[in-house]
Amino acid sequence: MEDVSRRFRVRDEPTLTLRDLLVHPRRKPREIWALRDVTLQIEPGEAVGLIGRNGSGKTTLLRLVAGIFSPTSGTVVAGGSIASLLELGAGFHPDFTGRENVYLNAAIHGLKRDYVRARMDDIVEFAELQQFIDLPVRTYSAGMYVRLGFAVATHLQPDVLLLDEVFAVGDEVFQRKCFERIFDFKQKGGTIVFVSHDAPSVARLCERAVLLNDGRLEMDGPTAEALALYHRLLAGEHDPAERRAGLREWGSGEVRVIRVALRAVDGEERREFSSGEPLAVEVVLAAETDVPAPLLSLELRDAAGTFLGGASQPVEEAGWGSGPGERTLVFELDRLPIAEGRFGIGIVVSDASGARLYHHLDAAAELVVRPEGPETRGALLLDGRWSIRAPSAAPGR
Amino acid sequence: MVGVYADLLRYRELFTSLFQRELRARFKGSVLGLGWYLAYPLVLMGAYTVVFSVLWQAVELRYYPLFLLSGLAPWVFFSTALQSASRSLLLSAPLVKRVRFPRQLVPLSVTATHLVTLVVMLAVLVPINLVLLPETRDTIWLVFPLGLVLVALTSGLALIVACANVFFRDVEHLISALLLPWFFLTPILYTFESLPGAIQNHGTLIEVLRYGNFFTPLVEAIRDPLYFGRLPEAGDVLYSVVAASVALALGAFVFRKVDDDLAVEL
Repeated sequence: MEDVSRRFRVRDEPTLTLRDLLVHPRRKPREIWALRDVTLQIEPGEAVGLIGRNGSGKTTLLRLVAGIFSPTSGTVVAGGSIASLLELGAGFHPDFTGRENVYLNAAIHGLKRDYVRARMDDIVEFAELQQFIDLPVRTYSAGMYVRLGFAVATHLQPDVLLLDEVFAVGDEVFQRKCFERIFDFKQKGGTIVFVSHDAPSVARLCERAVLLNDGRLEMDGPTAEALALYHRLLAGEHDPAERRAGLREWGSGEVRVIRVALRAVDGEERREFSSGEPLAVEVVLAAETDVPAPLLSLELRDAAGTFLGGASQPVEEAGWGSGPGERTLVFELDRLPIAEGRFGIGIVVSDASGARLYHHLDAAAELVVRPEGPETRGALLLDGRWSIRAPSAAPGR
Repeated sequence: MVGVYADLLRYRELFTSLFQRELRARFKGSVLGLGWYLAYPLVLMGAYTVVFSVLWQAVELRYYPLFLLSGLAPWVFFSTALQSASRSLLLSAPLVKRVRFPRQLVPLSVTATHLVTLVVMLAVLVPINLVLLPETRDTIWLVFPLGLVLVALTSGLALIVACANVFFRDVEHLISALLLPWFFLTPILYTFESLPGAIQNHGTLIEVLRYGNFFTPLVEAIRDPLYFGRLPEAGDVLYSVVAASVALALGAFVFRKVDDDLAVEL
């Protein structure tokens, strides 16, 4: 993509009629630039994540790649066959059976009927719809709908796979299957563009991520960094609904976490630390009103979201004072007990008894730990020494 | 421009799939299912025959019902195809918005499903005419090339109407409303010659109706070999061929122009 911009004209009434042309004078519609000057190059075999807030232009970018419409300015060049999972079950006709819809869907994507016929059994098996495949699609549950859509799309064997929030639906077993399939596809050299709000999935699948903000390309680089920037942008967003959607947070809000920073021993704010290094977690809290000293907890989770450990402390001891306003609190670790990996730090602020939750913020900060040396492996740092115990009794006893 | 229609060939499997989908969807779950494609035209023809031969004869013609049906068959194809086409892109919005494919196939496949009805009607009408109207035996084959002209005209207009309806949502209603008076202004139930005093008193009006309504020459051109057993007038044929070409060209032009905006507008 080179210098791609896409403008949409948004009108107040959704549709026009001929009457509007004659009766009402033409009102100038609002212009919205969904994308602005985006330049992006993706090589075959790459898996690129596309992240950003709602309305940042991700879906528009995906549609431009899919060729559904053209950019207002700039050029888009996409080679190879493209399959898009922009919404699962696109074009399923409710009165037709699952099987008939598979043929139709495949035909839309340009596949020959014989090709599909040969793979029909695979598709049905993947979707686990053996008993339902010959029933009309309108009788399917939402989950079955999704399974069929995904089964068809992944069997299309395209060169490029465009995924838009497809893991939002389906149960865990199915999601795992989908993930495996997509991973498989990646192994075989397929190119993937993956739009998601789910940071762990993006991190697992893509080495590279592109962050869009308000239609502009904010960052294009390693996934972890793009995700960190994304979270920072989200944290700065004051709209509570937006933050909740992106950061997975909730709470009554009397005290809010505004900012979380990880600092090294010299005060420098970093995201990457060495195993065993001293670490300080700096949390800036804002109290809307005069609230007594809350209970502040820190939660450490791995990339998959598993809770690894935490620390809880009433803030009174640190000297909370009284009155509304901001306070900065620091949690200090003398030695980071982690060997290596990517972790998320969550902050939970509740009242002193723990009963009332003010703010629970998942993934407030991201932590990347580099191993100290080649022997440092795994998640935990086990700080011990081997020694030989002197024999105290007869051996073999 | 040719590319717009060439895609029909290049993507013929997709076209076939869309065609089949449209065909079966219309009567899916109904008692007769696909049988309606046979029943509907037969019932239609039967009803007109009863009304206009038994109950009321509009024009003094031998086997008036056959005269009527010869003009009716092309009209039914034209009017139903246009109405369906106008809605077609709108109804396929979910598909258009998510997958890239040549979108002109949608209104064209819908038009093709109505062609099935036309073929059925002709399959019934042609043998009957051959038997009862021996003068048609020499000329009836002309119906087929002229039928192609009809299909071309209708296809071009179908494209225009389908695209227009995406941007102005009342186009489909406008078309439906226009078709009724249009039917009566076209000499299907009657001929201009047979209207009492019309030619003498309103000569110019008749001429306007004859050539202003681009469907009239086509109906006459088809009906002449199909019912009257005579060669169609050169003027009518020329007019119709030009009209069909213009329709095709205009259809392709309009489609090309708005193709990109279709996904956005839907």
